[in-house]
Amino acid sequence: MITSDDLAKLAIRRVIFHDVPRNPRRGPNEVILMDEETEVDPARRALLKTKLTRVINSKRAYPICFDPNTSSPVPSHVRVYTKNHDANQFIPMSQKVAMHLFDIQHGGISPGLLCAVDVVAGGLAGLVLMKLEREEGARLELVQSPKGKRAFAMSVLDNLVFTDGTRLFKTGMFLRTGSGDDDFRAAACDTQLNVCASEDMARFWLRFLGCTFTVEPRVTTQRFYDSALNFINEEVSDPVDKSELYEHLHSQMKAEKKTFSPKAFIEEYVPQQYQVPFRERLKSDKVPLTTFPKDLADIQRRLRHRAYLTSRGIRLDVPAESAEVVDVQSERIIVNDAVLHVDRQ
Amino acid sequence: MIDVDEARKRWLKERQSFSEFGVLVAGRMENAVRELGIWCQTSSRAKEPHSLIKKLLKGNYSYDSLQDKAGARCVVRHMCEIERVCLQAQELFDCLRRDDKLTGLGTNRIGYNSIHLMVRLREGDPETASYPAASYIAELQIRTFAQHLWAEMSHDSFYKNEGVLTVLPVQLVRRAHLMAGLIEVADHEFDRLNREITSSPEAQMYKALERHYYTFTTKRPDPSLSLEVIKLLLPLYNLTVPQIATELDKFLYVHRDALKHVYKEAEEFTTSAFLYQPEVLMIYERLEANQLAVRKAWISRFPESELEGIANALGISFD
Repeated sequence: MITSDDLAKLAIRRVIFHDVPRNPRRGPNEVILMDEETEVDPARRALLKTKLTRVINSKRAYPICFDPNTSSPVPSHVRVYTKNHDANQFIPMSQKVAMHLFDIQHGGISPGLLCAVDVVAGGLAGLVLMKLEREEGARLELVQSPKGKRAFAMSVLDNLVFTDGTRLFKTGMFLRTGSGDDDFRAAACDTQLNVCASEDMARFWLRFLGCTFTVEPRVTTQRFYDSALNFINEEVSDPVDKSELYEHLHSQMKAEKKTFSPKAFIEEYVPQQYQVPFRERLKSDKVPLTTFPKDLADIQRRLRHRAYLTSRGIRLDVPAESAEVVDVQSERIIVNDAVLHVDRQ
Repeated sequence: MIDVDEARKRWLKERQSFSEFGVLVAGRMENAVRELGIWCQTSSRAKEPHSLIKKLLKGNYSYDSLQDKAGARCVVRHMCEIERVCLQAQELFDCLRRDDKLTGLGTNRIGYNSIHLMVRLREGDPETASYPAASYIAELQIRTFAQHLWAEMSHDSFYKNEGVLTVLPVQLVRRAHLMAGLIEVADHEFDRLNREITSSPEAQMYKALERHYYTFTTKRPDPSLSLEVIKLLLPLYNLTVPQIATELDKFLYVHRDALKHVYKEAEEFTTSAFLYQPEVLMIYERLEANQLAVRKAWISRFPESELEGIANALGISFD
């Protein structure tokens, strides 16, 4: 995963935009490829860096890696470009990536501008790909060099990137960490992962990037759940804290949101005295603190609970998969289980 | 008899390289002192041609034996920092002579009070090709601001020079000594104040942060604003100030490279003003530990956009 330290060290070297309309399969639409980079002044360069930080470190960004089964040419372009980091290859590489975006941008996928950004972060060569949706009435100014070469003017950044309306974009960032094909730290942000979009729409951006989640979402979800549950059982001594945290864990796991942020969970629900040890526990269990797409497939049964409330105010919470241990009779309730631990207050 | 024309010619030819040597010495000192977490103002110079000639005319030196043709200076805030800076200089350079003006004054006299080191590059230093140790020697002055005040004020006057003082009327000599004494007392008082001021937790925290802050930048913060922010942030830890300082030491050790980069690349007009406050380091640690709690505390007193500006500069998003 790309870290906040990587983003703090980020420097923008060059930027280019290409206009990529929806591909009608048949019809006149064509990609408008630029032949020149967009010149960006230092102030806008700083704003662009801020914008990229906001996107890639956001709760909607997640770690990715190249999908070995992808047919997308993007991984190959990223690998070659970041290996040589040859400025002369930046424009042709970005044009090929734009053409690929056009090839797959059918149906309900909205058109937009593809922005490629050549970056370095603390000595690591990198590439950022962003898709910017055209906003109603946004003016996109082209500039032409004396030799007839075209580039989008830097005002495109003002009109599409630095607007107050859109805070997050479909973005992929790749930082090369070694010379191997998979020596990258990479992250993607896709706002559509959080809306009720079809699976195809939701995965469109990853498909375009030729990437997949670093660890399968169902595995990460299960790891987080297990780690949190063990922590609650082993480290939280106060029965009230224990019960509340347990409730929060389950309600947040079952919430409608399609992504889960351990960091946000800690900040919002874990009592302050447990925040540091909980974070450490997650780290030692190799659970990312960054947002991951939530997939409950492997823990669905364990999340189902049956709660019993007795006439004297006693509350009993039983995992659905262990429901048979509870024997409910007319005047009494029997739990056929051994006592593991007693908290006294 | 000194050949003034020859000396002038040689100096006009060589002055630029001595000036560059002074810049090198001052630059190395600035970096080294910064690593100590001490705020320090550095400068350098090569002697003005007229100044060089005047010194030669006094007859004590030849052109080649004159060792302070290049000079560098480190001015610190407190007396207690002087010795650490001297040791750092002695590690960095080959030190030919140490002239401690205070020791020279003895116990019953007052006056110019500073440390002068005659330094040259160590054997094996990659820069010795450009600045051979045999010819390139610089006078490195290390002093406090109070000592600097005395030195600057007395530079164009005669009361720095003991020889001149002896021929002045007694009342004038007495007044000159009183001024030097006042300045030395002020220096001691600033030193004591600096030690004693840390009675409140906020001030203790400020001192702990300042130590790290000056390793990244020499820009002067606004201490009263710092105390206000620290007061806001301290309740976010359930720890004592020394415990927080230990946590910060560990945190800053891990994020040192990122911070160095942020300060190196920061553009003053686009960066949050809080970047140039020591408490930014505490804000950074808290943003990584519990962003929501910091934001909640912050907006009770300051605009959230400033906090977001700091966060973004440090690679952290609020989205």
